Amino acid sequence: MNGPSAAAPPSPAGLPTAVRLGLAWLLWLWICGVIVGAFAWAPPASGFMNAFSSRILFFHVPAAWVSFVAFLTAGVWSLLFLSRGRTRRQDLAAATAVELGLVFCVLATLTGSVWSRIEWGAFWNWDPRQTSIVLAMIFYAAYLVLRSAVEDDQARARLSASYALLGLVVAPFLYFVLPRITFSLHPEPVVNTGGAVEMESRMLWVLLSGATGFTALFFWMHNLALRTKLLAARNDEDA
Amino acid sequence: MPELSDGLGWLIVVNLLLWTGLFLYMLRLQRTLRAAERAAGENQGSHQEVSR
Repeated sequence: MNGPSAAAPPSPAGLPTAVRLGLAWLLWLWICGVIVGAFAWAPPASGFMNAFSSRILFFHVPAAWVSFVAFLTAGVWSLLFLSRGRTRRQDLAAATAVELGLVFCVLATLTGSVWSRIEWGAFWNWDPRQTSIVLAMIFYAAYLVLRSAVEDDQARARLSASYALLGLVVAPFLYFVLPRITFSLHPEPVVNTGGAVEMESRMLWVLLSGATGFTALFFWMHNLALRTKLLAARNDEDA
Repeated sequence: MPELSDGLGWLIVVNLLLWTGLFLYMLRLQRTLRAAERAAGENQGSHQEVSR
């Protein structure tokens, strides 16, 4: 950032390498379990045109969930930026979370479209859930456009933090309220007015395990991407 | 347990291979980053305050 006014305290010590490695391999095992569970343990869903296609749910829903977690993470980092510190780490952490959130948003949309083609006959149906995820993508793509449009580092950090803070209200509305206001083609056990996931217990186990694994994967990716950005920023300063 | 002979087994194997590849790549990236951070001096500057 331009003219840093003061050096802040040193960064908190990271986890020891052995622990990091252990956690990474644990996550790998976890995801492997989810894959085997999704294809070989969970029963095919009933009431579908193609029962086998329902297995995409174990990857589609966690991807959509993680995009929401990412946007929430961006909002929290932005809140921290505005309320205390105003550090480069907080600013870049929010931006990184939005970027990863968009990646998972695209993955959720693509997997959803493939499933939509099989079950509903078309890749796109303007279902409320499909529409709301597109609105979320546009909202957060605008965040990145805003960041790229402002040259001054401080102004960019302040403006984008304020925008991402607004996302703390917009994202929950788009993900949880809008899709439930009108009729949805999405399966009732997953999207219903009660907000509960009602499905066979093995399917639910795999789905929740998938969401947990994807969430851990997101935070790992976020950590790596943020550290890369911080290193790049420091290289730019040194150059 | 569903029948694994009708392509489902292959689907699992391909998925496992793809995910393993992603993990190995991320582990390698983590190691490279750690080395670069050490070389650059343990996270210095990451907490620099943005001047108001």
